[in-house]
Amino acid sequence: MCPVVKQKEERKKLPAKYLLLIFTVICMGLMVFTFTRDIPVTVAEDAAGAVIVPFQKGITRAGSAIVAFVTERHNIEELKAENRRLQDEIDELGRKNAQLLQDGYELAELRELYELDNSYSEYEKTGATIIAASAGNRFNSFIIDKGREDGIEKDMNVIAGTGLVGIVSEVGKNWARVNTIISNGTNVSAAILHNQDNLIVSGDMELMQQGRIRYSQLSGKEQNVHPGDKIVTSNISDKYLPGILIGYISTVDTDSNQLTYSGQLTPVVDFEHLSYVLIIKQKKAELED
Amino acid sequence: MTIKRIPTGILAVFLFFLIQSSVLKNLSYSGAVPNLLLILTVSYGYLRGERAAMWTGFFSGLLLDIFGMNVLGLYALMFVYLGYLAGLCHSWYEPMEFRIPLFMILGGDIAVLMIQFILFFVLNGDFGFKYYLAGKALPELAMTMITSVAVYPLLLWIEERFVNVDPAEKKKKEDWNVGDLAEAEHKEGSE
Repeated sequence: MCPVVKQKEERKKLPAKYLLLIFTVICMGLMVFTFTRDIPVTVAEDAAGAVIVPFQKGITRAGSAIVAFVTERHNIEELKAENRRLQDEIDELGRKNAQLLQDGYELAELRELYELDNSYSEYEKTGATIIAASAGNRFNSFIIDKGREDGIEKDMNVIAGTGLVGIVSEVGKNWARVNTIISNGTNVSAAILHNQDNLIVSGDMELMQQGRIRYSQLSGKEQNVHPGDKIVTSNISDKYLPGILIGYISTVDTDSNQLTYSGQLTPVVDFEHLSYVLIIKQKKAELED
Repeated sequence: MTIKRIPTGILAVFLFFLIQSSVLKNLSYSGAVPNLLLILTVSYGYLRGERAAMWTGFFSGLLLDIFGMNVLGLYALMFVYLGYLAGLCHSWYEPMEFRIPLFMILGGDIAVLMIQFILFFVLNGDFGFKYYLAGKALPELAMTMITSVAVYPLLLWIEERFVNVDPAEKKKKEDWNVGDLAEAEHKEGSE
């Protein structure tokens, strides 16, 4: 490009260096403003929500329709293969009979779980579809298609099936962002169901690749803790409602202070394949009032 | 500058954000999603210059901030600088030159991934660099590069075919160049 032309063009406009400076100041200002005041910039968020969210909803709906169509086609072929396989499985059923004792044990556990489910089924809940994953590759937060208009507020608990997914962290007019409990830096105050020993559940994206997250600061006696024990949200949490199932203990390690225990647990929610969640409209803070 | 640049830019940011956040989310369970907005910002830096790229970067980053972050302005700042730096290479712009923009996208993505690692992992007391590199950074980098090989030529084609076709501007540019040459020759001759 000829330098003379460039000069002529730039004479009319702000030099790029100054534009860069202005953008830097705006961005820095935004960061400081949103960080210190801890209030969302509602105007920008609502404007973005109004434009973007309807499209995201449409894409998600179309996507699920396509997936449903493809899986249906796929299923017909699979069914034939499965039919053959089922014949073999009938033979195996004899062996499986032996497992009935084990199943009886599980039944007792599930009944307990059912009671647990009842405890938070009394709260008002609303369903929402996940319409977008957040920036970056970590599925540590996602956008749902319900917002302020649907009565969603910040700090409402989010569950899927019977397990805790996370908490609403940001609310727009017609969308909201949910931060999951598996994301790094998230801590949930929890307890073991059968003896109410307190512990802290911390998100860990690295461990989550093996389907697990961390817990720590478990007090109490070691003989009371076993892999398979259920972990639920505790009464002392300030944001999470008590008694929501988080997962099952996988490993137990003694900390170096010989007083507390830590280890890994397996969340009950399948975070890889989330598409629909339930939001509990009862907030913990209001429960205490 | 033709007036078509701004609408196409807005449309591109809008579409790329939707594809990145909603469409690819459905396709990729493994989690590696190409950073389309970064490709767009860097490509516009090369195709249109630093000013256009800064605007593109600012709005791309702001969208990522609004839908993904507790603090607004972080991605916007990163993308504005990315656009500015990419725009510095605009003077080498050559329609058939693909290596420069692809290298810039590679460098830009590496920079963004490193900053993400520092901000979201190290400051949270997590130094699992190996995990971050193998589990997140490299897949994303690979996806971004593969996608950019397809997306950059597309952007270039749109730019050459639909945006830079203002006949008045083209003619004006040609006149200028002819005029300069004549002037220069005239100068040489007088010396």
